[in-house]
Amino acid sequence: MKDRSRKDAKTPRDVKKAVGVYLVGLCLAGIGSAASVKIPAWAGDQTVAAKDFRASLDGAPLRVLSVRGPKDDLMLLVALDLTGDLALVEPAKEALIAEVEKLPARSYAGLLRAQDGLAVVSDPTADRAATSEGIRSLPVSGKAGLLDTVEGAARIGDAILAKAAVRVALLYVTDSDIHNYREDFTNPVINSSDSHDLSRRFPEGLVQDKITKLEGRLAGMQTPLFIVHLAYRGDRLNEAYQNGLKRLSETTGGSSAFCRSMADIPASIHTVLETIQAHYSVSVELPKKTRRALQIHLSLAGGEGNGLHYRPRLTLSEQAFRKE
Amino acid sequence: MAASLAAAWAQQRPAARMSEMERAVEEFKIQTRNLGIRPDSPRRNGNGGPAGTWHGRVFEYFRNDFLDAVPHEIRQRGGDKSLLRRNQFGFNVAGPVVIPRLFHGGRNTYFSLSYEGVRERISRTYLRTIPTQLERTGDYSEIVDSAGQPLAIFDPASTRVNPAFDPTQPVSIDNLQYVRSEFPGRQIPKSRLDPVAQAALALYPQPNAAVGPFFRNNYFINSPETNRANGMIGKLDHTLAERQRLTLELAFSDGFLGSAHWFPTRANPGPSDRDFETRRGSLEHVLTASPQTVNTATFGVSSSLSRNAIEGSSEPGAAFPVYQLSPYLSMGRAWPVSKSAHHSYAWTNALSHKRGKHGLRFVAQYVRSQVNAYWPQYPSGSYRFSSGLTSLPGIINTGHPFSSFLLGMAEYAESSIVPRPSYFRRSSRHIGFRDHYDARKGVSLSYGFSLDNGTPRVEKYDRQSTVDLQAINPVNGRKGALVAAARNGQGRTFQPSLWRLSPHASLAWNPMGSAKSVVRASYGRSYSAIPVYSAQWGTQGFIGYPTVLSPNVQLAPAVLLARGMPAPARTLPDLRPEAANDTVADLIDSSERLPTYQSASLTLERELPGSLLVSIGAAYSGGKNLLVSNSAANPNAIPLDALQFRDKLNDEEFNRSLRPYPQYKGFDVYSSYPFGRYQRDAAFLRVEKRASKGLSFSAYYEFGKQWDDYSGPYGKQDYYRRELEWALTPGQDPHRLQFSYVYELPLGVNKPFLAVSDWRRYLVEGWSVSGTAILQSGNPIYLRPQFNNTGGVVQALNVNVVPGVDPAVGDPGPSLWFNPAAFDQPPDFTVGNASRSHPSLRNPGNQNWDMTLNKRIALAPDRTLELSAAGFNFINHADWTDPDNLIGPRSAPNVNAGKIIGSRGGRVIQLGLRFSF
Repeated sequence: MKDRSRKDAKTPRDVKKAVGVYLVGLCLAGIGSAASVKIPAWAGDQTVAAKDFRASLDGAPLRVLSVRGPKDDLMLLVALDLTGDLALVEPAKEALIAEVEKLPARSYAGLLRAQDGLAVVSDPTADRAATSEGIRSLPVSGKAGLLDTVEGAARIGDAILAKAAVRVALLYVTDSDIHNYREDFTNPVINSSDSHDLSRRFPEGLVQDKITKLEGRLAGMQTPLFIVHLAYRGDRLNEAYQNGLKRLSETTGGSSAFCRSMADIPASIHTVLETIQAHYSVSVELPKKTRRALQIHLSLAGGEGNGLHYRPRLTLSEQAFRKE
Repeated sequence: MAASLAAAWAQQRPAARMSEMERAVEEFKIQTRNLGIRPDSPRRNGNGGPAGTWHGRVFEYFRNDFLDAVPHEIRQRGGDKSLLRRNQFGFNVAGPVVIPRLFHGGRNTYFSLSYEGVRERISRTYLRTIPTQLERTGDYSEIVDSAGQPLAIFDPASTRVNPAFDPTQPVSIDNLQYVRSEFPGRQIPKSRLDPVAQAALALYPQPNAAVGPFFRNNYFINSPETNRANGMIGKLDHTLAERQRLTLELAFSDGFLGSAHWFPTRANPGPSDRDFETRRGSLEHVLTASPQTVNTATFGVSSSLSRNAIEGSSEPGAAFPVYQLSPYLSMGRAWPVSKSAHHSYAWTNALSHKRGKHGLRFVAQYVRSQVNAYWPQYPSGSYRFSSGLTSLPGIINTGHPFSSFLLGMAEYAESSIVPRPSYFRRSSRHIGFRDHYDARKGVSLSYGFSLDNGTPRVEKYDRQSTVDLQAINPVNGRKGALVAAARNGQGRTFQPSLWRLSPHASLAWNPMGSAKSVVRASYGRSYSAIPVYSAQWGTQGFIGYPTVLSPNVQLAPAVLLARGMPAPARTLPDLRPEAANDTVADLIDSSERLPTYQSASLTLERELPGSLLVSIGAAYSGGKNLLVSNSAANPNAIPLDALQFRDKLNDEEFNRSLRPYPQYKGFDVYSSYPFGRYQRDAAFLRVEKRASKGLSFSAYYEFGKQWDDYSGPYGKQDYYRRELEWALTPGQDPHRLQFSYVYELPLGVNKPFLAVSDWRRYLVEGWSVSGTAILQSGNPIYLRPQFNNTGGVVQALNVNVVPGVDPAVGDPGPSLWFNPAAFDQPPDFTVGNASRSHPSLRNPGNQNWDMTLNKRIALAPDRTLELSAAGFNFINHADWTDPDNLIGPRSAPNVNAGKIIGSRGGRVIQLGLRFSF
């Protein structure tokens, strides 16, 4: 167990330690109870009662432990990753403030900054003024940080999900450009005299590699990730990057929006916040023995085709899987 | 561990009395504290060490000819190998800066270091024409013209005035001004062969191919070159007190390009071996004064050095002389030994400020550029040979340049005397302003301007000169005399220092408030400065171009090879006003014209269901005063109405008397004369599908047309009536389709199929396929008459159009791509009536399909091994070469006109291995 957990540690020692504490906490909290997973789901415009949810795995029904819906508590973790054009950032901040202020009183919003590494700007609170002030005062500076921080932020979300009976969502608002990361994903030309270099004919390789690694890790997490990208870019590397962000969010059951104009920014933020607010967190009990890669089927009482949309696949983390 | 458990347990207990949301907040605090990302977190010193926090990769890309298809151009010549040995390797490592026990950069100080090396041997191929073995001995009995008829070679020593010549009638085969005798038996006597030419021929290779037609395309070059390179890029990024950031970047690259040998001798006309060195450094400081104000200051330095050298010597004088034998491959090379170094220093400050609905940006920049150049073009001399001296004077399709070479009779000779390098300097200033105005919901406007100033080029020691077109030449009293910088009242430069204001504006509008649709419009106008080039152009008098001209290219040589170039009459520097007389003199344009560009575009973007994004648009761009070279600008050109003087124009003295500046043979404006115009109109459609079920792709189609009055491989027919030169631009394919795709195969954990998590996942997971393809229609065909009998008045003659004959053929193919009967050689001393490029005929199109298959193997969560196999032109498609564009006269048509003699291209495979951690 000890060795495995060390192998699975991903980033700095700090993260390892935190994850270790989290896992131990999970174990302690889970003693005597069957393992469960939380699946984000959407039911369209209809109002659905908890008892209406059905779950199955490979045709075998699963017990739905709990369902938290739009009227329940929501912990929204907002990570701002803003390093670029002030002309885009300020409207995004204003739109975000407007949307946060519209959140129901049972929704708490916590604020993180992602550029140059993850940092807490303000703790989750229902005090909208404090959150708004945090958003307003966040400087536009540093290097893009979404790829470096999203795993850590999602782990925080998962820890909260495991500890408290609330819905949790992670929202990144970013204007990141793949060229603006500290780590090199662009593979710049080093020897300009080398005219026969074909290794850069497919320059997306490094971005895809990073995205694939992250996707593998986020597949084992249960906090849905939402991304609003403020500045859609059409160059090949950024296309690969933006496609990768879309993959990451969809892996967790979340979604992403890419703004192509100023008008798109408030609209996208509004849409994503609405989506977050509308989500159900369906807690499903897993059988004692199960595969690591799960395709859990959700449905509503009344049958198929009733507009239910949910995260289709989930991978149990190595630890959770072993626990099974 | 036990302490942590206890702490975690202790933190859990009070939570039992909390509400669920309070419990969630408390957990947030615990987690973020443990991560050390809270303001009140204990300070972390990164005692975890670098191993767990550094990322990077090690890679190798491998290519070898045993993996590749034999290129079509080689297979067609009977070859079965194209040598290729290539290894490209390197690493990248990045992470926090760590000095054990002393310093841990944590999130504040970060570095990245990349290295890449290349070792390569690769073949170059060319198909050229060289003289036959018989021809080298002076035997022309088997030599034919492009129609397959015996080529007549005349003895210049037998030239005599034709007493029956009627000066009121044009020179023709029936009315010759001069008569000559053919060499008996079409054989130049051995005693007449020039010994210098014969010695040079010992260094000329033998024909090794017979592509034809006749004796043409008989030398196939398949020669390897050796290349190597080593380079590094290092970056250091440091955050100071959250609001300030410093980034230092340093890079270097050393490269060697060992050029392929066209000949295995010192007469090799191929390029020289080259060494490269580049150095670059920049320091950037970003100050976030407030959430609404960011200032970025950058200082950058860059340096590049390029050295040409001939094998075994760095002395220019050791180079083989240049013998220009067109249509045959020449001997010797220009710039055999040269060196140039470019340095630039740039300081930039950009201030961004958001105020209400306005996003303001101010930019100031100062750039200083230096070029140090040692650039002798012909240190051992250059000799040009033409058919005139072995022709029947005034009659085309007689004589041959190579026979003139055998006789040692050059029509033009020049050498370069460059005693020292030149040290050029210039600077530029830029002030820019932009306001991004969020006018109202759904409408944003961006507008601004830039104010640019470029100082003209100076030379560190004032060793610059030009022809002043207003100064009086003491030799003939005409305008045009050499002037030198900082002498006789002349300033240090020859051009004015100019300020130019460039406006730009763009609009983004969401029609009917729909964020899914965006209409974009933009307009911009800009100017570009005249750059500092690498050559030592504009220093005549400090360096010398001794030039010898033929008094009549049909009657008398400029020099005899056996005698060589005459010694210069004066030593350098020679700054007399008449010092540039009788040369192609350097001319620096001193007007206030600067290259000016305008562009406008309109685009509609629409997001569709299914993650589809469609953009459709149109764009216009145009420019004037574009910098052109000698083929497109000649202020000393003879107006075309002088063609009425016909054969008299062959007399050099008479010919020059018609030039605006008769004391000069011509002007060398290098590539710096602001005289070109262009316009491009294009419409495009782009479809992009964002990643969905592992697949993403984009496709782009463009239809465009570009015209200009200057470009092309041959030059202009009429320098004075530019409107007649307005024609389609070469190299511009009207249709271009490009698409690319990435498909992550849906296999493995968290994918729809084969979601196995045991050992089989190593086989199943991580497969992806990426590809790109480009398909282009052909670019406009340039037709060229085979002969140019205009007495040197026209440099680039157009063909004539034959009325009523369709230039297109029903099923264009290699045997006939266009109908050459639709064109004709213009009669002597007339210009062609066709445009420079044909308005409807196109060269064959080309296509390229690249694909890579990647397999990622996750060795650990942070460690992957990636194997890749990339196929470039993986379908092994052959692109046809361009058709023969030479149009001969009706009397001796080029039998190969309109035909395609081969194809090129071949599949290349590259294997890659990358370990990332």
